[in-house]
Amino acid sequence: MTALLGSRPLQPFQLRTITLITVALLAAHSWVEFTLVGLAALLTVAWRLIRDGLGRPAAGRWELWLFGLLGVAMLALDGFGSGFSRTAVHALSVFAGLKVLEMRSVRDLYAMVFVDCFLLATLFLVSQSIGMATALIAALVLLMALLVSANSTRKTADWRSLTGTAAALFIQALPLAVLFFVLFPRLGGPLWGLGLNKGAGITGLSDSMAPGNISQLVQSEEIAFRAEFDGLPPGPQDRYWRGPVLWQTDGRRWSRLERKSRADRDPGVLPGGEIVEYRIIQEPNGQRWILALDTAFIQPSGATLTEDFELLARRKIDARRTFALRSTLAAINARLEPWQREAGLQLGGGITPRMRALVARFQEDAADGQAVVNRALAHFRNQPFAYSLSPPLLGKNTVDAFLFDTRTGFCEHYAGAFVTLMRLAGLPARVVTGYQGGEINPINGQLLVRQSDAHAWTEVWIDEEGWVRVDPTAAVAPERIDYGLDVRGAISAGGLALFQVGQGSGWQQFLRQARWAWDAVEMAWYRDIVNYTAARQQRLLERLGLAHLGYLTRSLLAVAGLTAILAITALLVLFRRRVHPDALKRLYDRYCRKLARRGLARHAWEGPMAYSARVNADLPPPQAALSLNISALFARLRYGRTAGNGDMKRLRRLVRAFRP
Amino acid sequence: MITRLTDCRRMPRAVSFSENHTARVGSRSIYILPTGAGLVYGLLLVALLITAINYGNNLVFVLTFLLGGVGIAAMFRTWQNLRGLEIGMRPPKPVFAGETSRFPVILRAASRGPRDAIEMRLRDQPAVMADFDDRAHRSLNLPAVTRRRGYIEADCLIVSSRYPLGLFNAWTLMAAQARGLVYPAPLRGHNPVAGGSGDGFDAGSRGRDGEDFDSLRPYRRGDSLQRISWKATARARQIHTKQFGGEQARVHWFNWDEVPATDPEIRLRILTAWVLDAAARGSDWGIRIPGVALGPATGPRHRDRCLTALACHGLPLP
Repeated sequence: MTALLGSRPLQPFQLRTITLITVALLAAHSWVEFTLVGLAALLTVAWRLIRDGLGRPAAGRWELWLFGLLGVAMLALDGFGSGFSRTAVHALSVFAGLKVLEMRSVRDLYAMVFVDCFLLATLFLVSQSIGMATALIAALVLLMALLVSANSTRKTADWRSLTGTAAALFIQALPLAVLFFVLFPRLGGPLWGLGLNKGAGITGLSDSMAPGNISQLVQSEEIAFRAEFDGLPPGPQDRYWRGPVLWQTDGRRWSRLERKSRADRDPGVLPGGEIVEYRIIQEPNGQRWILALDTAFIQPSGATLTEDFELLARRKIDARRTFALRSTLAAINARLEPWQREAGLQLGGGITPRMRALVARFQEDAADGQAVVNRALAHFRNQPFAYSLSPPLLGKNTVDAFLFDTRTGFCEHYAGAFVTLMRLAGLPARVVTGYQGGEINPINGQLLVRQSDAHAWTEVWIDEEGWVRVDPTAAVAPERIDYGLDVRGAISAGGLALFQVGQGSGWQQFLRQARWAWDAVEMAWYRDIVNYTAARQQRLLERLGLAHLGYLTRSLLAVAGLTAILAITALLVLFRRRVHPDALKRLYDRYCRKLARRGLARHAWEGPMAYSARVNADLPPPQAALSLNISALFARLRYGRTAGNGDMKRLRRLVRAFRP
Repeated sequence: MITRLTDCRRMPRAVSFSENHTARVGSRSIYILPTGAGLVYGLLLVALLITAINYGNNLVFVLTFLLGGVGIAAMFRTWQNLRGLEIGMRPPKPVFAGETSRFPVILRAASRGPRDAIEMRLRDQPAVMADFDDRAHRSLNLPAVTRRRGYIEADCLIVSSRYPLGLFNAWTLMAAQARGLVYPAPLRGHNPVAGGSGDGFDAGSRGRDGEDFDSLRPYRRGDSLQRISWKATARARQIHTKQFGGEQARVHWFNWDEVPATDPEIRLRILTAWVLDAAARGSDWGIRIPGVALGPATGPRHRDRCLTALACHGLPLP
């Protein structure tokens, strides 16, 4: 850029736009993770806006120093230990803020645009959703439009033409971008250390449960995870997804026992049990639970299977991840370890004589453990128990109050109470939390499980049978298992949960369809673009028949593709259509060509009358008269006010007759 | 290297103007190179690519490749901005040394598509920016600061553009053959001395209106329009010019030897001043310089002929 061009001052609309975009990017960074450095950068930009508002935009040197020192101080406060990449991004934010403060000329605009492009890229490192991608691409088009405005001779901001030009460039860039995206090799791991991925907020199950926890979780419609089955998905009654298993209670709260994880021992799968192979696409939840179909028995790589058959990832899941799993729907023939017996019979406080009496009634003449279980379930079914998202508050003896006083609760109440009763009856029992159910997206066949499907059930140890799943909720509200809970209905009811059976009003149908369609789009986006790994690349190339190419051949192919695209673009540019002059101009051009053949070509600036005056000296009289007529007629038709149809015909005749 | 590419003398592929003083920019004569900003853009792409590879982040890959494609699309757009441009140039009006000569230029498009931010300049002269649609013509004036008297040649016209993103600079060199005349800058303050055949100024013989009206004579080509007697013209239906007392005998001859200067350039400048003053006065004058004698006559055309002779004095014929 010549010195002259680069030091041109910026116009107000350019300043405003670039400042806004920079603010938006910095704010997005701060929203993802609030840091002092981000705050410092935003303050710097805010100062520029204040200055603009006061009408004195040029910042003095001392201000730059002040904000620079502020930024560096915040950088030091945030700590350098969070990784090189994060520190680099913070430094970039500080630099961006300072540059906005001292921005003045076109050269500064270019610097800002480039810095903003990089800030944009770092935002992609924390979120790859469709929404973020669309917003950032739009910001990118705006940035390029700003560059166009810096190179355009128009003074005012015609945003339509600026963004049109920029958008046209992007559309022309698409074939090249797609070609390189598909063919560029993906390395497995990083070139150097990461440190930028941030944990999403912790949603979902935790390793302890108190009354009200799950009913609170259930109110979110967010997707917890999705499942893809190779064959048919399991039926609703088998859709139990296992999360944390809770042993310990204090009468109210249930918590997980920290134990050694499972070594590779014989899982003890019963022969003949149905084995399901599937993939779980887990949403980030900031935890390590992988919610496998009950019961997973093989430990996939990168995960650990515990003795309670929980599946734990090695690291916290803070980005969407896919796991390939195998589960069996039959029971697992495990042994009861001594610690499990002890833990399975542990009782917290709050055991009342009423409860003991109730349990004694279950045990009366019971043949075995299963009979006790059945009697307890019958008790729940026959007595007026209700299932509600917002049950009355329970007092000190939680289980007692639930069993005899309120008799209203959500799955966590039922599970906790049931396990307590079983333990009182001498049967080891534990609470299992996880998810139950899920809806199938008819568009892509995936099973969608939301937070609203969170559930708690129990497992009871029956001799000769092992740990048997018992879902007390099923006793009370079987529809909940079969048809799924419509939380919206439940919330609006306030009291008892209402169950919707699949259908619903036309509007609800439409909403459901729309939700499925959107989910399918989001999944396609994730799978084909965000998760375009080396494996997927290989599969795509296989499908195109190019799988057996080495890197060299592939890069040659990419170069060939690039050359082809460039060649096509060049041809398109070269063979742009000529400007078609109108019929009148064509006639006059014919007249000029005839004269040009005689060596009397028209100069570019000569008007028709001047031209004819010049050439008439060299023409024989009849032709000179014709030439004068043609020029006069053309001038009248072109520049005069009146023109008749006959005039054009006359002109055509004259031109045809003209023979210089 | 960059200067060599913008030097008309060294570039064999400069576009020449045809006889009717137009030239078209063809594909072969356009050079295109990245600008400084373009090079930094390239560095940005490399940085983005490294980031994408390192984090395995596919969206950053998308960003990198999109921006790369945009860069290439911008290159084509810049190139296409110049291609098919038709430029017509004609000789400028004469000016005095030190003033700015303006070469009239017409831009036209032979192929479709709007042209934006086209920069035109003569070698070492200030630039002019233009943009226009493919349907219209666009006229502008290319400035050329003159320093010396004589001819000013538009031998090297540089047409360039950086539109749309300023990442690439496309330019073409055109060897225009338009030539303008530069008169010497008049040097006032030296009055011609009396002497010679009936020449010499008289302070009293200046002016038009309050002067002794002597006689009428028929209009001669070159007579100042201000001396025409309209009353007599209306009466006689033929243009008559007034003549003032003593004028007939007063023909001012400006001789080379009588100029109070030694340097030939200064002489020319003083002579220019004298000619301009005489023309403004409306009197008859003639000049005698080595090789050329003009006059006696009066009027703008005579003045221009004298100025041309003064400007071209001693210079080889073009």
